[in-house]
Amino acid sequence: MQKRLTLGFFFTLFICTTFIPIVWMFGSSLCEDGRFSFVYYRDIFLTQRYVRVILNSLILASITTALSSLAGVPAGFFLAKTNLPLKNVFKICFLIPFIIPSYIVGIAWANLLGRTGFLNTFLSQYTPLSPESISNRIYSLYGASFILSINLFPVVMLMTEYALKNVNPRLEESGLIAGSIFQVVRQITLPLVAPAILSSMMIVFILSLSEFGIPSLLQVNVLTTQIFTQFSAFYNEKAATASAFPLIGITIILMILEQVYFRGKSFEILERRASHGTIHYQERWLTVTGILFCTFIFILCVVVPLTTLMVSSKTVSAYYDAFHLAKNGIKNTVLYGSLGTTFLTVVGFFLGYLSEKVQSKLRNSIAPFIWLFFAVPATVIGVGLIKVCNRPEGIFQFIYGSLWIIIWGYGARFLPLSSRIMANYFKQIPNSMEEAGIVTGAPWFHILKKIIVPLQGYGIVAAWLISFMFCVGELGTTILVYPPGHETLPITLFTVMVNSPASIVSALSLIIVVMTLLPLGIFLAASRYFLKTEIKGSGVLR
Amino acid sequence: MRFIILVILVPLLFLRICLGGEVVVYTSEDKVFSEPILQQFEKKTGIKVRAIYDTEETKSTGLVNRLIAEKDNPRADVFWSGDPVRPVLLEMKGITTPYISSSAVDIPEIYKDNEGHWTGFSARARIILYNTSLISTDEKPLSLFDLTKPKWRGQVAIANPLFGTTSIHMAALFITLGDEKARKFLQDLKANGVKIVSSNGEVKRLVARGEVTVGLTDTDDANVAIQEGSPVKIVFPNQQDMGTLIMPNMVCLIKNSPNPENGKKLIDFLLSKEVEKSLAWAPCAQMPLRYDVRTPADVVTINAIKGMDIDYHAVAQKLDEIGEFLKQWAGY
Repeated sequence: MQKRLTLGFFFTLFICTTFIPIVWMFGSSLCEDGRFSFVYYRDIFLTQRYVRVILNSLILASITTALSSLAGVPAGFFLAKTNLPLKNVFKICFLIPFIIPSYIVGIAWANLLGRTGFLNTFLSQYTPLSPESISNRIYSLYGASFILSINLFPVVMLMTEYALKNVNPRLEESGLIAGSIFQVVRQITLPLVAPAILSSMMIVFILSLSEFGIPSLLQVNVLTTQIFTQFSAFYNEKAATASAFPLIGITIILMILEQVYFRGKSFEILERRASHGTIHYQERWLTVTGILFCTFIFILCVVVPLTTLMVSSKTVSAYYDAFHLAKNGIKNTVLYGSLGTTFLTVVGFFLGYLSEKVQSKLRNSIAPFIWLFFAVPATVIGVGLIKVCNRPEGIFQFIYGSLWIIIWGYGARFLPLSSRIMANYFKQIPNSMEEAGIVTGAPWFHILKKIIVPLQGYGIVAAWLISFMFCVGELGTTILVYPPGHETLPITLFTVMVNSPASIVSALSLIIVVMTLLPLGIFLAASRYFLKTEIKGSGVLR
Repeated sequence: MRFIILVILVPLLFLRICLGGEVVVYTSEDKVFSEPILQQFEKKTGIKVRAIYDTEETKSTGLVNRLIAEKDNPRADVFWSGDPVRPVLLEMKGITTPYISSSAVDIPEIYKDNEGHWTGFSARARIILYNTSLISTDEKPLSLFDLTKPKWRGQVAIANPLFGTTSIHMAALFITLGDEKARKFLQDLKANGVKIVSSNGEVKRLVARGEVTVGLTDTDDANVAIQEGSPVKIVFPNQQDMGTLIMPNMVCLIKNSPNPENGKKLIDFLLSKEVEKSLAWAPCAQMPLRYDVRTPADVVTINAIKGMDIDYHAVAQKLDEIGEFLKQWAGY
């Protein structure tokens, strides 16, 4: 009963926060002059132009996913499985590209590879490429994919790393007795972390599909720019919502493919962490490869954008001015980011459990149902929230005029994400652990506290970290709903970036990086302590 | 039980209680320029200003979308627009209410709506920005039509014509030149390899870095680039024929707003000479619409440039008409 009520409560919360505003928007896009109509959808399916746009979006998302995985999976592997020196420094630094707003990363690379850029001059001198052709490459679908993958690879890296840490070392140890590292990684480790890697790839794919900043900056015509055009040039929210429909369609197809791939496979890992932690490969060649790989990624994804920002911030006074501008934003970002992330982690935990661990016929349909809303663009959610919450009466008035509308916005945008991350880690927990608790007659809350939460430790940490980075960088929905005085750092940055000196904009971007890394660092340190204590203290894990 | 009480009480801790004496303003004027003005109002009247600013990423139309979405339960009292057409659009959608401010008596009639739905003050103009390291003053283009000449092939940048002040400029050209000539001009521009970028700010950045030689942008972007020390200069185009587009700020009162009296006070303040003077002396160097406001020596006054003769209502309507053409022209 406890279990049913709790899961029912959190599912209702999901329906209220995510489902209602989005369905409201799609519902209204099916209505014209008070009648049911497909007028806005006809365009999408019958116009050749839209087919081209959808194809562009798919190409952008596919290349971005491939590049992000090529960088993120090995990075996650080296961080989790080798004795890489300065591992924690690398890990924190690798989060930076995700924290810097993609638009700023885009400008940094456009400056470097543009016709008069430093890298362009260098490349055009030492390769047969002309300055014009290099510049044209960055202002293209491929340039956009390259910049987006720099921005998004940390998602793959984090999810891979935590999934690898979750693998029972005994399985790998047994493998190593019989075979080489290659065989163990290929035949044991990778298949066990496949759901997490695949899920991170899906997240990156869908994020690339719904990304607006980079395609807009580089003038690449994709679905999001079409949606934005409908909203901002024609003020046609119904047409914009209808244009977002293919994003949901693509997500549904992906979900079906994933379900087909995982059907009948088991990812449960018995006696997890039984030999106190994760197995590390000590081979020298692996460490050297790890250093070379991580240094390359570090230079490409961290040093280049950060150096560009530091060079353009020029003076100390720029930091003073930027800090003055950002005072309110910093306070709000840390507070709302932490509140929103905690909300996402708690609700995501139960939704993840519901979609992965509840034995019912509904199980297979709940996970895709939650997930498919992730692709809905931020603007559609923002307007949906205004329609649902901006009502003159009762509690809605209070919510719409307070910080809770921002938290709601975070929920509406990222609950599918946090629940998805949680679900993947739940996949690795055997049902027998919970069943053992049930056999002893313990109430479900007790089982939750003593068995499920400790076993889900890395999942909770990964979900919190990733959700925090998403929340503090959120702009599209927040800009439409934030009440006066509640602006967050990305809003501060984007409101001043046109007519503030470049030095202040760069300094502000660096402040955003530091202000995001600080809470992340504190959380990482706390979670490390917590997870260690759990491993030592919990009878279940011993 | 204790948990439930906590869950109910904690959100209340974050509730901001306001005992009246406030005004809510949405503004698409850049925050760096509008915030000091709103602070002046707060200091002068003691009325708390709660402002929401538009961002570069929403192309100055995010707030218009928000005002449209909030139509049934408005939260804003005043909309201060950085351009003269969005308030007309809001008027057409029934979101504004008339208010004729006594502060605006000496503002020329062409910048005011007859019914009082919107009133203009301090203006910007559309300009050609050129990079002085790449071309000399003698070589600079003097007219928009010069930009279609082979000399400027691949050397011109323009913001996406579907958004912001560029869209208004295009609609004004269609009205002034007629549809056929305007279409031909845009097609020639495209054939000449014009670079369509995301915003006027991006045009400024590309010209300042020398990625392109010239770009079409607004005076405030150009002035900020000049003050940053970038090698750029301004040309007011078409001074010998149709003139350039003048774009005043506009302010309007929102229908059924929560604090209409304070909203009117803010409008009176924004339309005062004091604000026009402040905006002229700010880095955006906006041009006062009154002739007797003292400006810095380097700020061009509105009577010193030839502006296009247009009606903002007509521009708003034209914008709607040519939307599909501009969309195709820009490749969307």
